[in-house]
Amino acid sequence: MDSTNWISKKIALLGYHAVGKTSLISQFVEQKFPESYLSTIGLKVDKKTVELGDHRLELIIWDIAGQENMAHIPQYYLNGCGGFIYVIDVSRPSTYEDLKTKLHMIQSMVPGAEMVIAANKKDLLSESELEEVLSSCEIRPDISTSAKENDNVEDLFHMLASKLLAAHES
Amino acid sequence: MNLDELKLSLIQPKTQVIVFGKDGPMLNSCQSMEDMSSFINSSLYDLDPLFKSMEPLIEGMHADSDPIFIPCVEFDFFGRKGFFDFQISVHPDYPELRAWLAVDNSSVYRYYQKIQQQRNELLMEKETRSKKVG
Repeated sequence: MDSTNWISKKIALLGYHAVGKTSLISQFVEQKFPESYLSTIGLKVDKKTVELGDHRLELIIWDIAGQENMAHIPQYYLNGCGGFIYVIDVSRPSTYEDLKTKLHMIQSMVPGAEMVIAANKKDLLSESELEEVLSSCEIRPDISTSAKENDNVEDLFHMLASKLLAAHES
Repeated sequence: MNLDELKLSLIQPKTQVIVFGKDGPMLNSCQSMEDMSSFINSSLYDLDPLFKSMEPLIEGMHADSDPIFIPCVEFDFFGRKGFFDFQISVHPDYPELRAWLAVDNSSVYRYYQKIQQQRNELLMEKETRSKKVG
């Protein structure tokens, strides 16, 4: 694999407080689920390299403290961001209300950034309840995850990585 | 001890200044918080992903650029884990160099974290209650 197949991208996890952003990162990077909830303040940065075909993509992951109002995210947190994962908690309607408005706000702050919407905490709902929530969202989430049960976590980050790679190559 | 000396003695243990080249190599550092001598000449962009992701931004700074201020970063400062405020600015005498000021504000931010945590838990409780009532 030559160096031209090695790409580094900054991504961010965004969404309301306590939707599981930090847990998703922890599960993805360290294969650990934090036993108790500890609120993230400010930001924390992690990284993990994923392999996609003959490409290696280094994801530099900015874990940004939960915000109800996306306009309050400092612009410099998002500068240079290639993509973001917007996380909702399927058990808390407040985290997925007005999804369109929130995502438009973020997209205006990081124009051109790739996006994946993750419906987290799927372990708290039955299949039919989950489907009801997904259908009620203004924009249907791309993937349902459970950080707790390590369900679809790897796929979530790979989904964004694939989008980043496709954008990089186009 | 005059006031400036007193001020310095109070601030110094929680701050560190590191000078590095715009393309990454750490060139000089005070040793107020951590001894950095073993990292001299290592690239900051390779040492930490935060800096790696900010490489274009830092490299692109020029003499008139405003400093980059990043508050409340949960960070492992070369063995000292905590919450830091970072400021990266162009070296006043050498525009090709950057000065990284790190301030350890862990005690303040840990206090904020507790308050934030209580607030978040209350909000979630309230939402759960209203869902049950609804």
